Amino acid sequence: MSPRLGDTLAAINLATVALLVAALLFAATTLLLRLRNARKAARWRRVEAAWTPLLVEVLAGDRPPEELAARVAPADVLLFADFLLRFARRLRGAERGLLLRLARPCLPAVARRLASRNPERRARAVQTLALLGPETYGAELVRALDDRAPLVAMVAARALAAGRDPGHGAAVLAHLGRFGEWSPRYLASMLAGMGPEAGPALVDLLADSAAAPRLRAVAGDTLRLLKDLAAPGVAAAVLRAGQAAGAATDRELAASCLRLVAALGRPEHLESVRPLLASADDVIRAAATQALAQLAAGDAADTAALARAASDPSPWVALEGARGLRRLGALAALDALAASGGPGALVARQVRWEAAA
Amino acid sequence: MTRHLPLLLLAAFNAVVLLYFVLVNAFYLGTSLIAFRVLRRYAHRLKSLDVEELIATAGAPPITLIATAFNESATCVESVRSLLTLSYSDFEILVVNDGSTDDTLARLTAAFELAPAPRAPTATLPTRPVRGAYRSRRHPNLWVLDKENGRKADALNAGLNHCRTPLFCAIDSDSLLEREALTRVVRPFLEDSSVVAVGGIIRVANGCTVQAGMVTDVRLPRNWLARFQVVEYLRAFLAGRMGWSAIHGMLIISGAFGLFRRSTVVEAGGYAHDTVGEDMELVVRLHRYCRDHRIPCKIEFIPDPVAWTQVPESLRDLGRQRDRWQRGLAEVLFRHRRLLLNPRFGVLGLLAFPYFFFLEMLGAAVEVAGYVAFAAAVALHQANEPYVLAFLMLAFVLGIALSIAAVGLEELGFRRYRRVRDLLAMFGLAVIEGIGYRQLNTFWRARGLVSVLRGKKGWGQMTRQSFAAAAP
Repeated sequence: MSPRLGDTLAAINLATVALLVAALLFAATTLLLRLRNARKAARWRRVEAAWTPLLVEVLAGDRPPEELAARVAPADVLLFADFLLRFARRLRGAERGLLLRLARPCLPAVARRLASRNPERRARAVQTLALLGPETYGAELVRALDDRAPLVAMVAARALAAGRDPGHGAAVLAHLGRFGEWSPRYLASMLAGMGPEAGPALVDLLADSAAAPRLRAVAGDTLRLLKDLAAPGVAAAVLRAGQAAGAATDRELAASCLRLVAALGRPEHLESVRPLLASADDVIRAAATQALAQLAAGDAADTAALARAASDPSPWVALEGARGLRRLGALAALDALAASGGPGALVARQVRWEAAA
Repeated sequence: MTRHLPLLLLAAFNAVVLLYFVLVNAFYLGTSLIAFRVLRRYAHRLKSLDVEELIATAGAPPITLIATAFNESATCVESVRSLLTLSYSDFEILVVNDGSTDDTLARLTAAFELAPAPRAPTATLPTRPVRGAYRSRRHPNLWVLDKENGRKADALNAGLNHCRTPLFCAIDSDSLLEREALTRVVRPFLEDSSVVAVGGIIRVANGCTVQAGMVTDVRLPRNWLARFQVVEYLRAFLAGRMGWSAIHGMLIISGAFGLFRRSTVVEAGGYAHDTVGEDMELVVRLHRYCRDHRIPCKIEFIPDPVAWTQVPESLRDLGRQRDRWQRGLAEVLFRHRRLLLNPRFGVLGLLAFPYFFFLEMLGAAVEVAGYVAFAAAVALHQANEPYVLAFLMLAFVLGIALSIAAVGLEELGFRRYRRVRDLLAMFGLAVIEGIGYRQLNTFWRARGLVSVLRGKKGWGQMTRQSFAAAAP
């Protein structure tokens, strides 16, 4: 055997032994993980069994909270916070107040985790503080909106939005740009958690032509969820401004405004809707048709527009058109379309069937 | 010189095999290491984001589950029952009966009281004619579309044409989804509007106890082929896809379970009819379509929404499946070869695609040729036995290490196999799969490549069992 081949062979054998050791280490680590997980589960079961009956008695007013808090060993403080967290969302009123009292001694340990280098750990700490100490740790939650990790900022925003504190709501809106990647639907639901008090600020955002269209669209959808009656007028103005400028309005913004007008608008807002029935964009045309279907009083021109929409090449527009005809009671037009065999016939049959079902 | 030519060729080929071996295992090790890091963070992330609360806050985006069925008489009712138990507030089930010649439609009609109902299409992807739509009287969110046979992609496109929700979930009708699967798989769509598709993990249902369409007790199967596949699936999903997803190199979302943004898939043209790898083809095409149209696009894998599937238990069925997978892979990679080493596609073009092209697709041929060359070298007395043995031992031990690492990832993240006995058995499987099972797989994959070259089409027959019958 040549010395070169001998060296190669030695290297291969060495690599084999190293891999064998690695495989054994992987196996041992896996078994240790199993052991550790089993121990953690057993520890959790043990403390849960000890704490749950006491917590029930505390919540029933049969024991002072301090008695349960005293039974929590210093090493179990974070575990106790986790334990309380499981009940925090389910309790209301006086019971929730008792729970927060119970949690108070644990929260400094949780707050220290806000300095962790691990973003997931920081996010978990924000979530815990928001649920178990929202009043004491409000400033920390607001600061978390500037956390370098988007996850932490989002958890903080969600907690602050749900807290309904106007000051916190303003802070969330000021940071909305950070969450541009999140689903608009999700953002709108989150902001709606701030309650009707957030309405004026959201209306301002919707009207602000300098703001990002995506964020304005989120504001529009939030206002719709909040049923803010001042908003449809602003939405109609946004649509008119887009038409006056002659430039195509951002699709998301236009659709959001149209949904808002459809849900809460009045017939006078239709003037800003009608031009969009001819939009080249299916999404905008469908939203405009939906708005017309909701607000039209049933005059011949609107019925004709809906009938045209019911034969639109876009199935989404056709569906909104056919539903509009049904809403206006133009069943003869719908039946004629269903019997026509042309475009929109199946949509018309579906809408008739939906009404019957 | 002429006399030495075969030996030179043999030496050159040895170098190719060695290079292949080093590269493929470097990728496996790399993705495993990345997966380890990602899985640890993922577990923490789940704790910091209460997914149920997230969904409750967000208002669950509506989802249509599209399940295709062709002669699924044995499993269709059970599968649909399982889908009906899913825990998600706004979803519709659309079963597409792809011209079954057995009594699939009759069974569904009887079990769920189906009645004809008009359902207008929302898109116009070309498909074989739809004969009718039916809605369940008992479950208003259950629809069945009956169409002429056109194979799986055609059936999926028919489902897509009748999908009314922004997201759709493509599933195999012989798969069982966990109750929380939709809640979990939808999360990336809420966190990032540029996500167009998310895949979940597929696990082996053989050997598990299934009650009322749900896996209630997870065990290793008794059948040895199915057992090997348990470890193989863990390796492929937890070590492979998890790692590729982390570096934005996802090229496959299993047809058994994936959630997609409907509008993007329709705009990209839906599923391709002319390949048996329609699931992978769609993902690669989505990447291309979004890149070409400058649409932000993320395709992700998350490991905890689980679909359980029955894996083949006979050599014949498994061989056919692997042959088909390899054909699908080769067809897709050839079709989209423009991505190969194309810097415009970033990690996808420079890393993921070349990996699948050279190592996953051509690798099977290299491996088989390696075995042949080894046999030839032995026959010609040109083999350096200690060297060959050492090399084989290295490959064997590396395979063990990678499989055990995948079992470790499972333990780190999920611990589905609760019995210590099952865990130890998986270690054992990691050792013995290198003796025979891997070689068989390589042979089937190489045969798949030959099938592509011969222009073979079609899926081949698979034996289906009901989940209850498959349980121990």
